[in-house]
Amino acid sequence: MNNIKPQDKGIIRVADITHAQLSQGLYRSTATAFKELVSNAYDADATVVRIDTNYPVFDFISCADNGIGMSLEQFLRFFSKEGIGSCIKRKHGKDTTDTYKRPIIGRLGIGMLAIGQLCPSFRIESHYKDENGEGKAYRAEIVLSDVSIPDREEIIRNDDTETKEIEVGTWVYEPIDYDETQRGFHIYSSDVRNTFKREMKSSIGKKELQRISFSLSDLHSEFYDKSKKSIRDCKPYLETIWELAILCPLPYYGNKGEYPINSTCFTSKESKSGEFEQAIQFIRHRQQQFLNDKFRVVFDGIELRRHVQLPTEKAAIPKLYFIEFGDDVFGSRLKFSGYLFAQVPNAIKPLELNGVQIRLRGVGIGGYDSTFLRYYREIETIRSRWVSGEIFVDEGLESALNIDRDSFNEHDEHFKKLQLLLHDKLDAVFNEINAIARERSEERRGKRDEKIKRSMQTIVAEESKGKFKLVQRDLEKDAPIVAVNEDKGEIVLNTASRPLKKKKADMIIGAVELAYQIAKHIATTDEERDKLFSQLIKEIFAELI
Amino acid sequence: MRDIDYDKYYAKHCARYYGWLPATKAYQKQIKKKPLKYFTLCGEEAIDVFMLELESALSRDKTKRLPNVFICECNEDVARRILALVRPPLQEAMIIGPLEQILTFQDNEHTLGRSPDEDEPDRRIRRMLHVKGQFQRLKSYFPFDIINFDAYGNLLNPDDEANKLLYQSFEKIFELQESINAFLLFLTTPITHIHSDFQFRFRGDFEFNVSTYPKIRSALLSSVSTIAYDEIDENKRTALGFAKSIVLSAARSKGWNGEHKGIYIYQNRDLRKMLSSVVQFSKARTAPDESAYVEDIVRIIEQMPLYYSYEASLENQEVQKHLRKIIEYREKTRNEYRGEP
Repeated sequence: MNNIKPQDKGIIRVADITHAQLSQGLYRSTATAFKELVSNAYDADATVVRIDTNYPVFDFISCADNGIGMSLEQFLRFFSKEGIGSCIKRKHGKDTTDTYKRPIIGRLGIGMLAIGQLCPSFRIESHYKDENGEGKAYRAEIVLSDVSIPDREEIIRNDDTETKEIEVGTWVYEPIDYDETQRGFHIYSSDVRNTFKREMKSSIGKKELQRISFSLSDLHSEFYDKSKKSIRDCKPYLETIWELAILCPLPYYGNKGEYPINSTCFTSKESKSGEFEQAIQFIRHRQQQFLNDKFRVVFDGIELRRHVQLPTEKAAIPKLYFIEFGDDVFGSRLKFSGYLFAQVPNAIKPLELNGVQIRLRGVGIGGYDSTFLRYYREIETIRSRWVSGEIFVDEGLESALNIDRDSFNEHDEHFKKLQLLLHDKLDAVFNEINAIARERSEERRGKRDEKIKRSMQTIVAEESKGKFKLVQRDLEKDAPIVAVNEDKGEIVLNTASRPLKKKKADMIIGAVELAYQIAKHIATTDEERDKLFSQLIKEIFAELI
Repeated sequence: MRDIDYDKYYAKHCARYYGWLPATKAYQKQIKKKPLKYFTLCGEEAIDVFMLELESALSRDKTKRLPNVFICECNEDVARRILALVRPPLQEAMIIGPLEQILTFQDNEHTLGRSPDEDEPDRRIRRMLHVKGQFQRLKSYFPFDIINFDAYGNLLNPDDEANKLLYQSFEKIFELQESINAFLLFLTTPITHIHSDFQFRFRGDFEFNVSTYPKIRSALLSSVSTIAYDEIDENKRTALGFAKSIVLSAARSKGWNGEHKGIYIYQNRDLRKMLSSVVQFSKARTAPDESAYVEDIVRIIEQMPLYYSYEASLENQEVQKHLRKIIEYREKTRNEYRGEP
């Protein structure tokens, strides 16, 4: 390639219209928008964040935490000076929070705008201690512009000026008295988008109003209701709660040993395996980490927990696998560990748990990915639905995270490495569960064949009034499929004969021939023979099908 | 810091304890209804709600909610705190917005014929549609057995636009209650600064009553030994004026008879005076009953108001004990519903 002889050069900038897009909403779902507010609270060392939607009217949204709050200087940096996204949470290599040493989730500082996706205007209130330990507070109102992105584009197209400063909204603040009981950061708004109201209201009919319980165990039963295949069947309100709970850095629901993996469902041999032990230890360790975080999320009065309960079918054969990696990849550290769970031969229910959940700094990214980061080998088969798992990334991968914090850039080197190692592990997982499934299937088939054989013997013995007994024997390949030896009192089913070389067809031919031969050798008149033949066909096929 | 700590506002609790509570019990006994349907403008402490629940006037359903309690709160941040405090026991309960705007809502060119659920890009119009939605919702909850009209504003200071609307919304209540035969009203307002128009009206109505109704004249002479407006104790004058010119005037114009169960004047920490009326209304079959009106005024002259100074309330062990009991109960309930696994 020829070298460019520079006539001019410069840095690449991002147009304001692109920034404006941020304020119009980045997030895939209601839950992922709430997740951003929760993540901010987590980074602020809050011990509780309360989200309220004024259920079941949904005309108000508030999110209040008891963390360190946002100082007025930070607020002004965001809204007046450097602009939204000028986050300093990780300045000077800071990687964990001050009080609870939690891994800091936020990078850019656009999470607050998540509320903008649900409320075009909102208020914030922050009660915080400044660097001298003095209590300060302020209240602000943020009004996002009513102008939509297509309309902005239209304005730009029809305008001749070259630089465009795009106004995404206005803000105003006032200092207020500090109130220790209100310490933290609060966002609230009555200006709730009708799309949100309608969606949520559609979940709450009279029946739901009576049924929806705020008890955590009732909620768990609702999610694991066997009559439902998917959390989607619970409708948008509960689906939002489920999704938010799954994504947030929260402990699992339920007692140790039963959730998320019920270890009593495993055979003693299985539970003594090294991989099982590693996986269980890992899960316990993570649960303890989340409990140590002392972080609670309360949504409309419901304390959220990650509702993971595996296996989801009692009759299934459960398998548990462990995955771990830590090394430099493309010049920076990538470290992750996790578990994969499989249940043979039953699909994971609810289906939202099927797949692999990547958790970055404890936060779920994009929910359970049922493609297993595009694993092509088994993805089209029913067996991929038997698998669920979580991978916790402790170092690296952040450069792969897209701005919505809900998906990855699939060409990032860390992502590629994770994908490769996961797929290697899945190869091993699927090899094993395929083998178990095959073995199970053969065992089942063998049992079924044995049952049919016994039934046939009974039919032959009963209908021939003890004159014949049915035996199976390998005769010549070209010999008839059914042979009668009157001297020995045997009807021989020739297992070597394969007239059409198709298992089901050959079985039917054998059954018809068997009925015919019995009828022929037992009946004394044509009429009796026809009747017996018809009777035998019915009996034999009732057993076969 | 918040201005008032309602958990220690014993003077106000005197009005609840000696006024609201016995009137509620008597009303409930009279109408034989349980639980009552209650509308309140309670603050984030929701003391009235928990008091009435504790005293069995309100009760929870199978799902442990209070389905008959309806709260309107104009301050979004306070609404958030109320939600945190009393949810999930409440259901369909919170109406968030200024009551005076909601109750006095009237369609305009932007809202006429439009559903509040319609999408609207203009924030100003969206706001109007929101208020319309709130009005429709609140209207659908009427009638109530008890209305606790304990608003932030001042019913006696119409110079402020919000207060003017507040007065109109108070009048509107009598229209919206039309499908019930009787109800109880707790009406609270500051009385430290009474607008001159109202003072003029109070005086005029007083003089009209004295000259028109011999029974009122005679009650005044036997109770306060005078019929001269300026010679009557200020609290009694205010109580009489408020009852006649505000409460009964609005009620009678909408076809309701009123019977005052009590009028309570109490001081807050800044020694500013508040007035709380407890009135039971019954629907007038024809024109409002003139003799009942006179009897009501006579009763006020003879028995009302009761006065609780801030200082004296700090010595009232009975009231303090009762308030503490409510707060304990509230905290117990709040902890129960924190949703901890």
